[in-house]
Amino acid sequence: MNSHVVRREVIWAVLGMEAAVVMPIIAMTAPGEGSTRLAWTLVLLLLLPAGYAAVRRIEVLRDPAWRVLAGFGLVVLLRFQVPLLEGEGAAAAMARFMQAIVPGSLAFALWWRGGTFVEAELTATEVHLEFLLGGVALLVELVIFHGIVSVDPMILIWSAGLFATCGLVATAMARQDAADAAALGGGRVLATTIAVLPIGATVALLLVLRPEVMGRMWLGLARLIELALTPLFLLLSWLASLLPAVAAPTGIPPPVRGPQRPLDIDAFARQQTPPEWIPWLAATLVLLLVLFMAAGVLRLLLESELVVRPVRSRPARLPGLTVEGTGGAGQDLRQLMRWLSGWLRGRLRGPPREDDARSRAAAPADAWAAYRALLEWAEQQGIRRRPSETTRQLQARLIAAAPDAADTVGLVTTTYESERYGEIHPAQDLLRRVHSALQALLHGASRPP
Amino acid sequence: MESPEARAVPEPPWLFGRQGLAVLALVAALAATFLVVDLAFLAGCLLLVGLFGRAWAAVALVRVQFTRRALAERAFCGDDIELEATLANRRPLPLPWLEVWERLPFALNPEDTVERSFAQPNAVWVQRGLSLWPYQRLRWRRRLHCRQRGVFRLGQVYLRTGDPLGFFERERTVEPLQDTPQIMVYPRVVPVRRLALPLHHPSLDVTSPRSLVTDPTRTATVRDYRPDDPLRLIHWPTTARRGEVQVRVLEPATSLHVSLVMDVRGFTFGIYRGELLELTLSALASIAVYMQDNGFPVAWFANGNPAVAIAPGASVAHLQHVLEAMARLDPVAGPTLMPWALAELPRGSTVVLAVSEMSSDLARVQSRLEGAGFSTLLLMAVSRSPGRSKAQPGALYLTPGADVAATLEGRA
Repeated sequence: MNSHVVRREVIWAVLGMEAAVVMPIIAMTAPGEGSTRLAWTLVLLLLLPAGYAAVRRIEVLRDPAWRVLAGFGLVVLLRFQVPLLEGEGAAAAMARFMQAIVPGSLAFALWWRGGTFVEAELTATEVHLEFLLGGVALLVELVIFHGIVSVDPMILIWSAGLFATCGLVATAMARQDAADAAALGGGRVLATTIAVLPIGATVALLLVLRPEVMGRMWLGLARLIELALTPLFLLLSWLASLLPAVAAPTGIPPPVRGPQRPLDIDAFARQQTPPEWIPWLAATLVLLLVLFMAAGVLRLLLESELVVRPVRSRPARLPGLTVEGTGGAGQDLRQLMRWLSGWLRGRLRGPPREDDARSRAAAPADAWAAYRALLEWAEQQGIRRRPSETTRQLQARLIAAAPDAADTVGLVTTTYESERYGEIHPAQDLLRRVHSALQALLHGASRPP
Repeated sequence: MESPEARAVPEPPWLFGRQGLAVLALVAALAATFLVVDLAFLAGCLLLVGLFGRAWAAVALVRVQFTRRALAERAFCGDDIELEATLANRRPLPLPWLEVWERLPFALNPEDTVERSFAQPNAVWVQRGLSLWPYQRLRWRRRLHCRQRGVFRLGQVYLRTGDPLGFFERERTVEPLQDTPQIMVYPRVVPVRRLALPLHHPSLDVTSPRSLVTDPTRTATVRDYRPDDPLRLIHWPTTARRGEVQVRVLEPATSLHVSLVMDVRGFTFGIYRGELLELTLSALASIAVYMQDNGFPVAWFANGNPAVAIAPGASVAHLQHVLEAMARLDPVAGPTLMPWALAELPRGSTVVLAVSEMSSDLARVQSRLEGAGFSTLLLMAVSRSPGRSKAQPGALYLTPGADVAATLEGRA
């Protein structure tokens, strides 16, 4: 790719991608359990886009000192709402320290990272690299969180979904920006629509690949491996039978299991239950954010004059560019059906005769193919088109050599000229006429003079 | 350095190579077996992105057609011409992004130039990014400014696209066909009201068209007598037949033949040789247009390699022929001017001799031309104006940056 800088919407998608990568880590350090932890996670994650939006809107925050100060204030404000663990001793103090410092540091890092995107000149290559590295990092994270650290499965699913969606949209739009292809009408819609296709396909695939299906698949694979390795095992067992047998050791006692301590469920629940006001705070913050976003959307709508559109002609975004239609799915479908029916007929009738082969060769898909067929016919007549010869000059020579073919030559030449020089695509009726005229010409040529 | 010649089609990343896809497939299968939804989703999604991208890139340029043509194939230096390009996507698969890179002659100064070509120093790269929906065709025009005389062939076109995410790219080169029309840029022609060269013929005073010389032996038509008509023009047989006095209308005289002769050898070296060559050709082309406008035959001779000799003619087609020969002229030395020109020049014509100050045998050429009976007029390209004391009488001097029209009209 090249060094073109991506547009703003790509940066928003990259922010979502990065938020998805850090979401499990943030969730691990967020206070509370269940929905409370999810809410705190989202609140902390919002510092990433908030940092970007704030630095972009408020110029003074582009000064690193003010950015540090604002981030520090936000972190303190957020952490102030979370109660610290109680207890005495060094371990408790260390736990309190970690509980205060680690999430705070992460939150500040998110805020700072968001702010850096304002002045970062991201290129498409960097976005692609970030998608790949982020994808691998998130895969490793998910493996770790499933095997070692326990995190709410919903957070992991949200993380994977958010990463896939934002990452695919970001990479698709970044490639468009690198190619300068984003300014055309509907270009972004096209890229976004195609980018999310793999997500739908993945969901469908996961619905099919249930554990029982996978179990059967693994079983079948194991059988195959077993079958492949059986001769080797037979050989090894035969070789082993040649060695002298050794007696197995006896008298090893079984392991003894110690008494279990009873679990105090109430104390455990009390320890895990967060203060009741935290969900309210999170809900209020989310509500404020939604209101802020709604206000932003309303402002955008008003600014873009979607609500009250003035009567005026909208200037073209790329002057000098004309958009036209070419062909269509119906035409392709008809061609496919024609080919399919021809193929079936050929299969049912056996090997094609010479005439059929010639007819198929003459069947024009468009005016170009028809003209090529005409040129082949002309070569059979000993007339080859010269490099400097125009279509009309060739037509005159052909008519002079074969006056009977004048109508067909004229029809094919005119159709070809319209397509080639006027870019007027011939209608299907005209193509059919050209096709039948060419067939008649070729059959006539096959007859001896 | 963003053109296709500086930026090869990138290899797909390792994660979407064979090994990476195998790892992703294994992770996705294991995760699906143990119902680890998030891991299975992410690994499966990445796997499908890789497979989907490979498949898409394989058909990325199928049934994508690119055509290009110049709306005008001939122009004068300083004119603008337009190139019209068409890209058609005749299939149900969209093209989310596509780069069209065209290599065009630098002398045509295309708009939106991206960078110079290092493989062809006389060419530049221009680019257009597009996205196409299924069965859509885009047509656009690009303006070229002809800033240099010559004959130019449009260069290659590179189409680069790939999967929608951009991990797999494909490129197709559209080579220009040999029979593709060339773009011919004639020398710059300046409007000249009168020539300062003493061509020794009254008919060149075009400020008064009535003074054009007519040929008394060739009658174009007859008309009614007017009081200011001379009596010698009365056509007596027609007067007798019609019963009214009729006078002859004579055809304009075409006896003045001007041969434009250029000694190319003097323009093959020297500091200002390029600019002086263009100025001289511009002056000669302007004289040719001026002569043709006034109905006088003009011939063109240049001792380049190959040497050019075009016989006199006064038609528009002949003028076009002369201008094309001027457009094609390369400053490559051919035969020496003197024996060659004497054999080619039509007798009785007035010779406008265009030379450079670097020509070593100018005096000998002039004397031989005059000895052969040609009236010779000198148009001399010099790096510095010689001043009135050293200037040859009747000669015109072209210096770098000179105003050609003013020089030809004698105002400089």
